Amino acid sequence: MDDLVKKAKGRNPDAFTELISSHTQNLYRTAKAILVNDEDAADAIQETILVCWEKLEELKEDRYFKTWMTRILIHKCYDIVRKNHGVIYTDELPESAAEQENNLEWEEALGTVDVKYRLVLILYYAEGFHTKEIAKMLKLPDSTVRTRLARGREQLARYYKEG
Amino acid sequence: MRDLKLEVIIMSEKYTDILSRNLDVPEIVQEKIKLAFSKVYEEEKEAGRRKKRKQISRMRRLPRAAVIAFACCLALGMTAAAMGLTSLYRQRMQEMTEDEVDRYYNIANGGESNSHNRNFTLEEEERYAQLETEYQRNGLFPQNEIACLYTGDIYGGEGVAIDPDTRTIYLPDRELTDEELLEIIDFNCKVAYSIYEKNNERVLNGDDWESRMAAMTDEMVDEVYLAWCGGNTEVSGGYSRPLTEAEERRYAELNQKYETEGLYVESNLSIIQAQSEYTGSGVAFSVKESHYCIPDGELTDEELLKVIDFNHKVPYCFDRINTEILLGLREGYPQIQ
Repeated sequence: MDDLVKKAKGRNPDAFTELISSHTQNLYRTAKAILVNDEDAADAIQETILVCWEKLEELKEDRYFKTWMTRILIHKCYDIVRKNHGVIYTDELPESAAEQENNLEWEEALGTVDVKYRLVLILYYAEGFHTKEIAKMLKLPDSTVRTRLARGREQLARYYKEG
Repeated sequence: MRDLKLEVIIMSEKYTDILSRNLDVPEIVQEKIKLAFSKVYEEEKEAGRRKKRKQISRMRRLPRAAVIAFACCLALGMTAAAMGLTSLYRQRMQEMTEDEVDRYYNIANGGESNSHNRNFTLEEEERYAQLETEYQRNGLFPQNEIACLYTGDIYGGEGVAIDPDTRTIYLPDRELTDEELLEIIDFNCKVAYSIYEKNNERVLNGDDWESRMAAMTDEMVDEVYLAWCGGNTEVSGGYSRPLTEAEERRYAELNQKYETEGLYVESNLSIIQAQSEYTGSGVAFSVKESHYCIPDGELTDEELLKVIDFNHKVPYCFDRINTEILLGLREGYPQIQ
């Protein structure tokens, strides 16, 4: 992976597209933790890709590519939330978002969790970031991240018990 | 307690399992990703073109003599196609006496390009282009030189004439004859050649790096041109490893001294055919990779100066070849094997 980052930093578009393609799932999951609408998620991802390409040379350590890219994506998602005056920021995931069979359970589970806990849960459980990394990414105190994680876990546990 | 820990672990695995599940990425997201990728390729292509343009413009930057002559040829309306020239044309130019060269050079200094008292008609423009080719390829020259209006002279309305002070060419009201068109062509070619000659003379008589370049033989010029163009020209000029910050700084310092204080090394940079030939010591230019092979250790001043010298030779050689082709002093570009 580091090799791809290095090549992409050398303005190699093939390496860059390969690198991003390997992160498509990460990008989509994270975007969907913030944005309900697929179109908005698509816009955020598209802009993230272009920013990554433009600013890649500024990435100091190749091994932090995923963290760096995720941070950009989160910013882009929040930009969209702001543009839409927060109207897409709902607690209930609409049924239309669960059109794909494979996504149904994932969205159902995430839908049982308060909006403010979703992103932390995804970043921790799905993307494998440590709480300290998440705290830096979201510019939150580590303790807040831990609290959100605990609350999100409680809500998820209820979903499992009820399910 | 153990049961609680176990439950936490189990639950944690469950959360990971569900939340990290691979999702079906909807078409709209895939399309936007594809769109972003095509923009990336487009931008890179454009950046490549810009880089190439920059490289070409760097190549055209030096030497001033060649650039001026080149620009002059264009200003005079010469077309590259019409410049695959013969020895007759070359001979005519080279046979110009020093006085003639001086005279035409002084006229050239009267303005950046010619002006006319009236525009050419379409027929005259077409005929001019035909005759220009004949002049340069087949040695069709005018019987006389264009008439010169000295200070105070007034154009009488017959034949063609040049006012050297303003570089204005006077044309009669009627359609131009072939002889008149050939006189104008002859004038334009001589002006271009005189600029080339005078600037070469100036450069050769100097004692700076441009003079060293101008003293290069045709064989040396061809060698540099072929080395630079023989491999992957998209990436020409890179290094086998990135320069360190200290090396970049030193390069800039030495480059300044090379251009302003005449600092240089006598020995030339080696040219090798491929990186595999590089021994790991000293510096060399590899044709295949089109980059400089440099040692792992920090570059010495001498090594950097060799690179700097080569970086100056490349644009010089490109310009010299271009100009010589345009002026008919060279048949064409050196052939890459």
